Amino acid sequence: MKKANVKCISLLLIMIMMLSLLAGCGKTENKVSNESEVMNQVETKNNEEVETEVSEVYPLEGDHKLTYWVNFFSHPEYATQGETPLYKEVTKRTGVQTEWIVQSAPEAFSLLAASGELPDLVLYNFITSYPGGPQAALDQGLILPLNDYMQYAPNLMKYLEENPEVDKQIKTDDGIYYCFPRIRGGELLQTFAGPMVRKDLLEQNGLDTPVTIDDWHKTLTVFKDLGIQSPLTSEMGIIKSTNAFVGAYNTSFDMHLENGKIVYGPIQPGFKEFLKTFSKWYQEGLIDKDIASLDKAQVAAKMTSGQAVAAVGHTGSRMGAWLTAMADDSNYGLIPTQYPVLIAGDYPEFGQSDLTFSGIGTSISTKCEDIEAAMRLLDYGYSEEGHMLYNFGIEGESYEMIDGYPTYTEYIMNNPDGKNVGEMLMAYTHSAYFGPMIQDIRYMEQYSQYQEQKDAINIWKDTNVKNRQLPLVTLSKEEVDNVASIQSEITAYADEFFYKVLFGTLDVEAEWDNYVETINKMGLNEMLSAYETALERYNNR
Amino acid sequence: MKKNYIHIIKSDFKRNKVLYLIILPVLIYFILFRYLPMYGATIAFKDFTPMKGIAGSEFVGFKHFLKFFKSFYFFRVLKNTFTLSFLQILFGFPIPIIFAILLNEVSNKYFKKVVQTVTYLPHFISLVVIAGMITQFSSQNGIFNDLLVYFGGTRESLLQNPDNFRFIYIASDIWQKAGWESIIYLAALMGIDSSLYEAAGIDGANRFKKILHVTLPGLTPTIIIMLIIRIGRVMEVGFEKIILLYNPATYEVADVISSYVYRVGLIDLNWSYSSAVGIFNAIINLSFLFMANKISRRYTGGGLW
Repeated sequence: MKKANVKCISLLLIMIMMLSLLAGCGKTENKVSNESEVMNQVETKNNEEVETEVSEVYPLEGDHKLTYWVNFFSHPEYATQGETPLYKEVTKRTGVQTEWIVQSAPEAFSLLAASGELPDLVLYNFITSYPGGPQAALDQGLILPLNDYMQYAPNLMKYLEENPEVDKQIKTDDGIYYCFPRIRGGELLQTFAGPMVRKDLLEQNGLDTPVTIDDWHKTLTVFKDLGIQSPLTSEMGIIKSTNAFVGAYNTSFDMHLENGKIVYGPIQPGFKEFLKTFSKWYQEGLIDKDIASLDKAQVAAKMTSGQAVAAVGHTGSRMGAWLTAMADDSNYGLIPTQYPVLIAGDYPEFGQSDLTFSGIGTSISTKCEDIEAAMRLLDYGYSEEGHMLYNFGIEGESYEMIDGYPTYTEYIMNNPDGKNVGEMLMAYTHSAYFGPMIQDIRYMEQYSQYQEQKDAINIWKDTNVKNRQLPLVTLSKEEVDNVASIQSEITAYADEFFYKVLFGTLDVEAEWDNYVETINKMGLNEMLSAYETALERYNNR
Repeated sequence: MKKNYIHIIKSDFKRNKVLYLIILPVLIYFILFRYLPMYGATIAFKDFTPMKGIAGSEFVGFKHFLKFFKSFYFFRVLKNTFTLSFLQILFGFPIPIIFAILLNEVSNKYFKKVVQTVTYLPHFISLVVIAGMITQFSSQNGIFNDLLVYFGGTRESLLQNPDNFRFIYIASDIWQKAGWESIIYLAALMGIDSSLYEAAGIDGANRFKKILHVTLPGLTPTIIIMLIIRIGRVMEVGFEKIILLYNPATYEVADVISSYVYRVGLIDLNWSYSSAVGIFNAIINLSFLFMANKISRRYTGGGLW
């Protein structure tokens, strides 16, 4: 009796499982067929274009399949780039199939390299993230020197001939090409972060937009007195990378150029003055008490709930996101402010400006067998047709040419299914993330939905930072061996000192000389001279 | 003599074929995943570059070890590792024992079950979630600060203050693990002969005396073995929780060997250097294990081996 029962139940369970499996199958099948229907529509639409537009090279003849490793891709619908409409189109047009490997952990590349089992293509920043830079990666046989194959990359070569400054940036000191770069195609694309304040609250309290450090102090104090808990908030990482506030004191959080020489910002006399001010603000409660541990979500919560009134952040993921989140509140407004200076009328020396080539590009690994296909696939992005595809997607679907201006369609900008613009652009274009391409300014013009964002870029780009920041120099393997640990130790030590002074555990007046001496003892000069020689080599490229 | 030995094994094998078969998978597992990878540790003595492989990389001797000993942060990470681990043993180790003994005294079975379940639930929450909760609760507006203010304190960002880091680390560790770790002691308590309690009762022992003279001696072997094992891992402060909780403001007390290894090895791609640090760490662990075992054998007559 009992046994029979058990049998019955297990049979029932098995049946349920089978049914659910079948149901699952049915669903996926449906989805696939739906997708392929869409694809078919797309296909018919594009076949016409293909015939008229594609040069003789594309699509490549024969079967070409490449594996493509990337560090980051996050889209709610697509697990990898390969599934996006963009890459389905790329595959069709170039005739090269790509199989994507997406790993986002910070140590992912390290593990990949150590395993020696390399994919064909690797999207990575070899300059800033690989010890010894691209030269070391080439010497160790990780990635392929591309010079011998450049005949397969006519589009990139053409661009580099026309832009010798970029050519200099993407070569190694020995003149070896090693990657297909993501290039920012215009000054307005290079600036995307800076300080901003709640516009409505300024107006309500009869305050002007703060310009000088004193203005900021006054403004923040007024808000503090009004009961706002942490007037100035931000992720510390953004304050550091933009050098907001510290820039007013003519120094930075890292190495920078001073009359053509490389100096270390955190030990300059200006830094001491900055520390005194910032620490005072912190003690007065003007700066968020949690500043050392804030993340993006916490800052967003504070900036949209009235707990904070000012922040340093990006145009899209901060300003745009907050404005969108508060779209229902007609009072809510944000206004970009210029980078703070010491004396009214001064021109900000520091600010944020990304280099034309930030170091991230796609390299071909030594394990790649189909080098020509790899070169052709990557080069496609720099062709006229590839440029349009990577920046704007598929004509008729994601953009229309209106008076010669590629305009994103309603499908992208106001998606009927309620998907946001960022998501849609990620599915149809390459411009929102890294890839072998030249970013088009017309992408940003449309991506910035709010006038405030457009104003912000124009205000924030007005700094002298281009003359102060270091170009992307590369250290040799020997230099890295000597300098890498010095550098990370100095950075960590300076970081700690900064926080201790900020929180009031250390008195900057008393400790300053000791601090500078310690950094010197840790090997600062060795580090600076290594960078000086690297800079010289860079200038001689 | 030698022949004899082989003979013994042979006859033993014949007799216990099935037992040998059972242990085979375990043996294979250990050889594959515990012993073979040790070969990879040789990169600590080499300048490892991935494309040349472990065998092909150049031999450099103790260069990476010396570099670590000379490093500015050597003493700090060493000190922090010791301190955190020592505090963990000092506070974290006795609590499950006390908890188990107290729970054992509870006679209401239903209450006992509920308490047990509740206390070992945190063990099943992912570390990432726990760290996220701690970060949120410790922020200026977090619940910990609300409590602090309620008891007359002032609001501060708790995780940014180096003075608090160790407390938060240890306390959350106890909260997460104490219930789970008490299981083994509860099991050991089950094994104590109840006639001993009866005899003690007849001799006039009260509850406290019973704990002192029956329960504790009954638990001692378990406690000692657990302690030896724990001491053998004294340098093994997990890097996950540290990395999730620390920030530059608390590096001073929070940076330990394992988080240092993670940073220089996996993030900065300095594989050889970080394996050297890792090996140094393992050697210290091993020596502690030997020491603890020796001390235990001398004073209690029993140990792990």
